[in-house]
Amino acid sequence: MSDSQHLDPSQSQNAGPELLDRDFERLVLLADGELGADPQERAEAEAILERSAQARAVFADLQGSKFAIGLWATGGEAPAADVDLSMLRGRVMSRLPAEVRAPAAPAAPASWLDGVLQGLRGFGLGKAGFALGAVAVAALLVVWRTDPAVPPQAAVEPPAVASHLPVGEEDQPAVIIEELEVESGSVAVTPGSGANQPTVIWHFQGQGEG
Amino acid sequence: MIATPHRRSSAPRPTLLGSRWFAIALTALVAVGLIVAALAPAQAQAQAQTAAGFSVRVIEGTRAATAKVDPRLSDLQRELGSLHQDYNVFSLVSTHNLRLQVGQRNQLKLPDGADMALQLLEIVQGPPMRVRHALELPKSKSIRSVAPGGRTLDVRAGSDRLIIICTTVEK
Repeated sequence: MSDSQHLDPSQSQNAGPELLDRDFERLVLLADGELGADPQERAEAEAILERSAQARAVFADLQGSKFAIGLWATGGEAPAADVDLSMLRGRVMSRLPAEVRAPAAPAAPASWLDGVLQGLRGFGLGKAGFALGAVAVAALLVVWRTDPAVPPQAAVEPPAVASHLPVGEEDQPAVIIEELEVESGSVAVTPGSGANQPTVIWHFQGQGEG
Repeated sequence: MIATPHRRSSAPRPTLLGSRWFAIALTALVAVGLIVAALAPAQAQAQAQTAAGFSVRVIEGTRAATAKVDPRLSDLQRELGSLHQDYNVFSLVSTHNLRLQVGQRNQLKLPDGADMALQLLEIVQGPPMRVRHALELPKSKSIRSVAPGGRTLDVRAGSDRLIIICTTVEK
């Protein structure tokens, strides 16, 4: 294949000089905007367009194709840099570059409840797990409240029978004589002198007994 | 029309250990375990609180030329010495370690032939914890509320000897 291959022989008769492959490559580079850095090559490409109607037609096709490809790639949306904002002059003073977004951090829980739910979700549980845990805590509270080791307040109150007996470790007498029944003889109570001293109950028998 | 091949998900299938139901079952198991653990001590304490221990020592006091106190009564030497100036010999006749349930009554024979009875009436939860019990002697009956470790000395004064009953509520 020669270097002077015709691209479109049907149009070559009325289109001036034939378009060489080398010229076509220059037109492609010009359409792509890749000749801007070299003024000489750009001038040569413009000279080709000026002397050849075929070259101008090919260049127009290249630009049309490039535009169509651009529409396909952007979904029909024009690049922000190409949007004409002249109608908004007076309102928009400058173009502000878009801020670079930081990578999204995990949202902090808004409350302790969200934190608990978030932790449960991490464990594979959702609201059902939270409800189950709440039931368990409620059951523990019920058990604690009904624990016989925790007496009702009334049981903690001091006994109704006052006593002058020795004072125990809890500021209560260690021994309280609540009731005393004597059929005969007499009974005397001598409290201990200290917390560890015993209370002495004397049982005196009546005369003739024993 | 371009046929899109069916793509299988690359995510690994959840195993039994990683499944949600396993997590729920595990949580339920832990909750039940906590409830049982909370109930067990309460049940054990409730069982222990239906009984109380007593140590009953029966002591006899007599007269002699030389004072003598049984070494096993060393913790009561001070009280025994001040009980009665006419009795100066004290000996331990018997010791009874009783474990009574609420309502249970235990009867003992004293050296002078009389009977005494000890009955556990109630255990009042504290603080301070109280053991209500009744002590019956031939001519008297008393109801006492004694904290664990508390002691009473019931002294029966006779003509020739003393019968002393030392009752200690065990801790």
